[in-house]
Amino acid sequence: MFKRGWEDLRRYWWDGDWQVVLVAAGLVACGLVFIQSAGGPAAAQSQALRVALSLPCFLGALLVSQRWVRENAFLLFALALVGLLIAASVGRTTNEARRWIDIAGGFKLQPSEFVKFGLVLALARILSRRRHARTVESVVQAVLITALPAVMVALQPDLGTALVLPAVCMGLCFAAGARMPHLGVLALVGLMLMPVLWMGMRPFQKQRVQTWMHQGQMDRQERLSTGYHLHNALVAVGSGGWGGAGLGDGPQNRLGYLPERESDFIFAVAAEETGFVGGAALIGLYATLVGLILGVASRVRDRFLRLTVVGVALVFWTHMFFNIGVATGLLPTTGIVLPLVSFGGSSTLAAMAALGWVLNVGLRREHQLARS
Amino acid sequence: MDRGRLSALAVLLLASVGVLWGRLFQLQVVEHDKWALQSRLARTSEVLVPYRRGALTDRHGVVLAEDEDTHDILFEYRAFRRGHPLGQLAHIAALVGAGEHGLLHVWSDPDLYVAEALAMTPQHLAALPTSRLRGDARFYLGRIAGLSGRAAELQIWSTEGAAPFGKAFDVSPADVRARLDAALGAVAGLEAALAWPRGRLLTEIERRRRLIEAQVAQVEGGPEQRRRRRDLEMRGHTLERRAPYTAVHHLSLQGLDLPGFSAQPATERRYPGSVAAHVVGWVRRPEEDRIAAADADRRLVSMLNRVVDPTPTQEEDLAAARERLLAVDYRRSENMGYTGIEAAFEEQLRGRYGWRSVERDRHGRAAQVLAFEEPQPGGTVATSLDAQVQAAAEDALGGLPGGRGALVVMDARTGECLALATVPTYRQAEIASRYTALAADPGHPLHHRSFRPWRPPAPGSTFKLVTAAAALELDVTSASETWRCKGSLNGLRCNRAWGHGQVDLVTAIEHSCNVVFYDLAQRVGYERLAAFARERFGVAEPTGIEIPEVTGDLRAYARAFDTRSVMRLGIGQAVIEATPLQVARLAAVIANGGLIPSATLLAAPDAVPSGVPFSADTMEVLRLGMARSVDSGTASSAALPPETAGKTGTAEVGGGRADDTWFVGLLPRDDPRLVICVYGQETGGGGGSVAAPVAARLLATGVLDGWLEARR
Repeated sequence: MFKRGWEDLRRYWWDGDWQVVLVAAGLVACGLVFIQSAGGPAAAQSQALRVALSLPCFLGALLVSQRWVRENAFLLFALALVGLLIAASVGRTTNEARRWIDIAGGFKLQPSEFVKFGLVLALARILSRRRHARTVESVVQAVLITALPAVMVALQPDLGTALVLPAVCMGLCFAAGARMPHLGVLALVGLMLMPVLWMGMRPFQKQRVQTWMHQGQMDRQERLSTGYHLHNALVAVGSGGWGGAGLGDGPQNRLGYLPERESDFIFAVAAEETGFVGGAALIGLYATLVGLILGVASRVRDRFLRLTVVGVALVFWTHMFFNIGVATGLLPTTGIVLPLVSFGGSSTLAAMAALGWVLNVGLRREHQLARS
Repeated sequence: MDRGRLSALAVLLLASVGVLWGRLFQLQVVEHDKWALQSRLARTSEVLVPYRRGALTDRHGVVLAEDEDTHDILFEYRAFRRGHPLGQLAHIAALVGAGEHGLLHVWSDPDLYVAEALAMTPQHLAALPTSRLRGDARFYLGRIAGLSGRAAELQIWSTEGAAPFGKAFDVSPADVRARLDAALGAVAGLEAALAWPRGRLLTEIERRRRLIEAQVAQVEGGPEQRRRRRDLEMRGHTLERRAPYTAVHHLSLQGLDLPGFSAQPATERRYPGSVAAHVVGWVRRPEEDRIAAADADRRLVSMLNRVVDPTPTQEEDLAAARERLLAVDYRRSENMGYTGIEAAFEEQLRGRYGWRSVERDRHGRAAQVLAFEEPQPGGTVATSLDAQVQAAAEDALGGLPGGRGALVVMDARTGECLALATVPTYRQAEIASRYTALAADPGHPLHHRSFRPWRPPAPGSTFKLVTAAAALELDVTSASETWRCKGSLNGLRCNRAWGHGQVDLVTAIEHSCNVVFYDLAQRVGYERLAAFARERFGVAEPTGIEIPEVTGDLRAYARAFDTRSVMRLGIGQAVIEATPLQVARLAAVIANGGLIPSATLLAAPDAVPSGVPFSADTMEVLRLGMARSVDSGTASSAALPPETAGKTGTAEVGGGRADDTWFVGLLPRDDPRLVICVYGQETGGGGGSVAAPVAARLLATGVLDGWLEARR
């Protein structure tokens, strides 16, 4: 399953899209710097270890047989769903949700991080069938297999990740060439489901949304409770100014006012300490990664492979927009990481594997066709 | 799938980047100032550093009052209730309204309260009327169980759970009990360090809690009540002043286990020597109204400072509050001059608080000091008093029959008061504990008889000097005129019933012959004499002293047929009042040859008297009369030093009470610089036999010899 991949790598390595790796490495480096700033050297080392441990996955995804992935796309998706089920039943409760599965050595796995890429594979399978993307059936199928994990994740409750999934589904349908009326109806249904979503939300989630809606007039009580995350993130970002306070010197970060600053609010740390210059550059770098991945996709002829790569781009993109949107108060507060930059084993592992797959596809875009 | 869709995605990607950049620009560049201010306000707080109030010294630099550095033990109920398991348990009980919830109840039977708290279910919480109270209950349950950082789980439990709190979070009563016992141990440690009996600290805290509850209950309405509670609970309450070092040390080591307790640097006033209590005065903590007003203004300023775009009204309010604060910016821990020089020179004596701008982390722990401003100590005020003379004067007064009287020692030329003594007196240290008793004392120890007597006395025969000077200066009489005293005039008696025989003015002063002064007063006339006394001698006029005084009464007019009033005025009786300080000043006018000094409590060696000098003839008569009075006249029995000149007085009080007695002396008699005025209240006897000996006793101690020698 990996043997041919290794041969192909030796033969066609000059065809590889290594600039993706370069940009990703840059993001990981930024992540380590800001994690060190937020959580100290221990956290940075811990994250470096996680990056190192996810390198085999990167390599595996780089070398894996494309045919095997295509054939087992639904199986991989199902595996991720089983992970979600395990987390929901026996998982440990941390902070506010059951998201984690304990594995050996004190590490924890967060299945929802893998389910996104599993979904991308499954959607690519469905939408890559010739001409089927333009049919109602495949769009409905896509929506149905998205709804399953989305509801499960939402019940954890992890609203942020749950909202990534429909966004990826919409994006993939669009990229696969679904007809605009279908997409329009889909968007309409999504809008109509909003009240249902609202009713299903926990009280504290509702309060956070309400606080977000009047973020300009938060009172003292809200700043200390439902608006705590939002307020302190805004203060951190806003007080950064043009050039920031300097690495390790951001008061909101240094004095612990900023919550979840190594993971969900890592961007606020970056913005506070490196200012508009650093924050905008980080956004630019991230968008470059997404753009490069889209570029890889545009050079791939095979529909399935191409859709998987577009899917990976969509996952990174939505995460970027949601995470930074939350940190800057554009979106209601919800916990969502910035893959490659935030502290976190599962998200790093999944992101590295996804990047390996993107390189895999890019490397053998011409040759795989013949073999398959 | 076409390339067009991918291009559309790329465009969308660029658009999303544009949105994020735009938002980032808005927050970081456009709104930067607002957020930077928020950041600064949230993380910094200002800590006051007490100043030393200025010292008061006598003319030689001997300290009469000074500040010493001490520590206060302060207590803040809110921090205690949030941080200390005992406070937390009591508050849970109070929230649920279950039976008694005083701290002492919880203390006496902790297990009951622990069990009650752990048995609480989400239904109990749901029964609370407001979401705020439900949130409070969750918070305190989390605190007693040590579940910090699990607020969200608690919230989920409270809305969706069913199990009792203890079961749901696996908290055993023993855990809570252990936490409570450890915290109570820390309180007991502080008690021991304060050398307080066991339990007193909790009793004090409970009293404080009840006081807050009672005051909160007086306020109507939810938000108003909450604000009031917040104010009261966050207000530092002084448990102990001049705390022993052991307690300060204990708090610095165990402070984290003693939430709500703190040792604050403070200053306390000391009055070494303890002389001239009335004149030096004393300090006290400012009135609650004044502090409350200042606190409210400070809060207003801090609140309006946070407003990013203030409206014109808000700007006006801010300016007004700042203006008010400049005037009455008193703090609860500060001393304020309340009486005497302490009050009169408040502006000089008061220093300015220093402050440290401290950066705090999210748990309120100090991370670093951002800025520091040294406190500015108050200025020293050098008074005109001479501590030695003052002490000797207070001693000399001790011999007065009846124990009530006053003594003034004044530099005739500069008006500097070397001593202002009064009996009965008190010590400043007694004020705090005995104020009510002192105020109710029939001897009026709180009133200084020199300048603020309870009942301003009549100057008696000392006023004859004024009558004589007026008659001579207004050319009503001359040094050569003689009278024949037969013991009375127009039905008013002389002080010697069988009369003085043939007398001139000098002899009249020497023997204090009433008849001569009855006649002179009638010839000068009531209005002219009263005006002369006021204008040239300062009788019934402010003396210029810097602390509040009474001026006494002197009617300006008498009815035309009222000949007795004018006669009585001539001998300083009935229609006239003068304080001992005014009588001393009156004598100083004679010492200065007609020039009047302004009395002062400040060292003022260069001050000069003002006015128009008397004629040489007038001065000759007055000086000779006063010298003979000591040598062979009314004051001759007092054993005064031979260089003294003086005049005695005996004033009727009426109402069957004994006479007041006076003596006013000038030294040295050839070129007088020093005035001594003795006043004995209702002592009976005569000025020569009762008042003059007090002056003699003071002079006999020799404390004034050095002063006189330097000015000879």
